[in-house]
Amino acid sequence: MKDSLYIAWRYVAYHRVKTAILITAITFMLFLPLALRTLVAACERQLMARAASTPLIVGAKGSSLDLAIDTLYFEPKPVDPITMAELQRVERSGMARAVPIFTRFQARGRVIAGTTLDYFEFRNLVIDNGRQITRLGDCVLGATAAERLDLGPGDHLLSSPEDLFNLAGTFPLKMHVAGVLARSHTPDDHAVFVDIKTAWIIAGLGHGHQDLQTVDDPDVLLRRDGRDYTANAKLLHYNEITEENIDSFHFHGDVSEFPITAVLVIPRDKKSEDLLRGRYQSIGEPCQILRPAHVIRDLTATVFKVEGMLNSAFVLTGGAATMLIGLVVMLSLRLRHREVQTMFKLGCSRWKTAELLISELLIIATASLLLTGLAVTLTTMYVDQILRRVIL
Amino acid sequence: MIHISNLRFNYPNGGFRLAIPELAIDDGERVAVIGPSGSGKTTFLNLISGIAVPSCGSVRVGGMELSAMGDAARRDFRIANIGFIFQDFELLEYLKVRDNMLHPYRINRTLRLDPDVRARAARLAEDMGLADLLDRYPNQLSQGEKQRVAICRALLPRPEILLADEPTGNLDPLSKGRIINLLSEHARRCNATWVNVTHDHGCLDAFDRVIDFAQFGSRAVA
Repeated sequence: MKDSLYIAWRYVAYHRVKTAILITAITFMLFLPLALRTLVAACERQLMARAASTPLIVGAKGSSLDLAIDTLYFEPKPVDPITMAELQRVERSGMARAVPIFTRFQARGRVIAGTTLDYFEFRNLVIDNGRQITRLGDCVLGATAAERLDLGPGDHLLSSPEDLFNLAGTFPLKMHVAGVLARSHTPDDHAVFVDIKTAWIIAGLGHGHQDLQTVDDPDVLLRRDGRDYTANAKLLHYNEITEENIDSFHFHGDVSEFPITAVLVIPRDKKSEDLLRGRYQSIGEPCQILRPAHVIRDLTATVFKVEGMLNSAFVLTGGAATMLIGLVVMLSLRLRHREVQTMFKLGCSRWKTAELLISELLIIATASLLLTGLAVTLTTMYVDQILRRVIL
Repeated sequence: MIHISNLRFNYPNGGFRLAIPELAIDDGERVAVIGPSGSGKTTFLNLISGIAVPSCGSVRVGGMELSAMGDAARRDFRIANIGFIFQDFELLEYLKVRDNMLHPYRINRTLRLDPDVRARAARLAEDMGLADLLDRYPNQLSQGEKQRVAICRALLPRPEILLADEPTGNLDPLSKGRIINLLSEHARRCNATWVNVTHDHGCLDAFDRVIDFAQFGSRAVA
C-alpha cells in the first residue's frame, strides 16, 4: 500500500490543478451544509439569548415578530407607535419597571434608539469612551456603530430625514456624540442611543427657536395677543442643541400622548409577569404584550424548517456533484487507459492497478475531509464573530 | 530458453492470424526479428512475454509453459524474468526519471525495492548518462534520453530475457547506434537472451541470428 500511495501521490502532485479543483469541489460539497447547520444553530443561540434576557415587551397590536425584532435587534420594521401612556400604565401597576423604546428614526443607516438611562442599566451597557447622555441632543454610539461611522466623543451625527420630498416633514437634528459604549456583542453595538426627548425633538414634537419676545426683525412677528405670539416661517429654528440655545427647546402637547415604539417591561416577579400579561388579553385592548423568547422560538422553528429544505437541496446538489465527480474519474480512467496497459505489460498485478486508483481517490478524499474539518472547525470557532459581522 | 511449437493465435476481433509451427531461441542468444508490418512481430513478443495467450500450441519460456499459467502468474513471471522495451518508451509522465526506473518494483510484490536496488539504479543511470536527469520528468527529456530511461527500467531487475520492440524506431542514427550497443553490452554481460524486433536492417550485425517472419514461414493474413 505504501508504494501505491507514493505513486498516487506523485500522480496527484503532478496533476495539481485537476487535483485542486476536485478537492475544492468535494470540500464545498461537504462544508456548505455543515457550515449552514453551524451558523443556524449559533444564530438561534444568539437570537434566543437576546430574547431570553428581555422578559416582556408591550407594543401596538399587529405582528408580534415585527415588534420583537424591531425592539430587540433594532432592525427597522413597520411597527405602529403607541403612546407614553402605555409606559405610565405599566409603571402605575407597580408590578414592573418600564423602559421606553422609540426606533422611528435613523442616522446614516443606523437606528436611533430613543430611550432612558434605565435601558443602559437593564442591558448592562457601560461607556467605554466619553460620557453618558446628560442633556438634550446628546447621543451615545454602540461600539460597531462608532467604528463603522468613524465617530467618537466630540463628533456630530446628523439624523436622517424620513422623507426627502416631504417639505413639511421632520428636519434633521445635529446630535452631539457624547460617548461610545463598550462592546457588548449584541445588537446594541450597532445602534445610536439618544434620550427619548431627543428622539421626540427629531420627530418634531419639540423644538427650539429664536425668542419671540426679543426678536429684532419686525417681519418675523405676525401677531401678538397677550402672551400668544404668531410668527412666520422666517423665524429661525435650531437644528442643533447647544449650551446657548438649549433653554429655547420645549415641547408642545401632553407627554403621555407622545409616541414610542415599545415598552420593555421588567416584572418584579413571576406573579407580576402573569398578572401584567393578563391585563393585555382583553378584547378591544389596543396593545399587545409579548414574551420575546416565545416569539423568537417560533421564528427559529421556522428557520429550522427552511434549513431542512435547504439540506434536502444540498443532498440533491451533492448527489449531482458526486455524479459529476464520478464522471470526471471515469473520463480520467479512459484517458489513462494507455498507462494502465503499460503497467499491465510491465507485469503490474491486477489488484495493484485497482489499488493505485483507489489510493488516488483516497488522497483526494482525505485532503477534502481534512479541509472540510478545518473549515468547519474555524467556522465553529469564529461563528459568533461571523454572525455579528454578517447577520446580527 | 524460448521454445514455441504449433502456435496459433488470432485476435478476438479477427482479421489477423499468426501461426508458428516451430521456433527455438537459446539462452543468451541475440536474435533480431524482421519482417513486413503486420507480420506478427509485436504479437510474437507479446506471446513470449505472456501478455497475449495463444489459441493453441505451446510457448515455453525458461522452462515455464506460459499458456498453462493463469493471468496473475504470467504477470509475476513477466515482471521477474522479462525486460520489455517499448517502441514509444511508455514512460509515465507524472513520474520523474528515478521513479520511472524503479516503477516495476512498486507495482508488483514479486520484485522487492531495497537500498541495493536503489544503488544499482543510480549506477545504471550513471552508465547510461542519465545521472543528472534523475529528477526530471519525461517531458523534459529528448527522445534518446527517454529511450535510455525505458532501457534502464527494463534492465534494472536483471531480466533473463530482454524483449525490445523497435527500440530505435524513433531515434536519430547516432542515438540508434548507442542504444543498440547498450543493449548488446548488457545482454553479453548478463548472458541475457535478447529478442529485438526491428525494421532497421543496418543494425542486424549486432545479432547472432536474424529471424525473418516472412521467410520463417509465419503467416499473417489481414
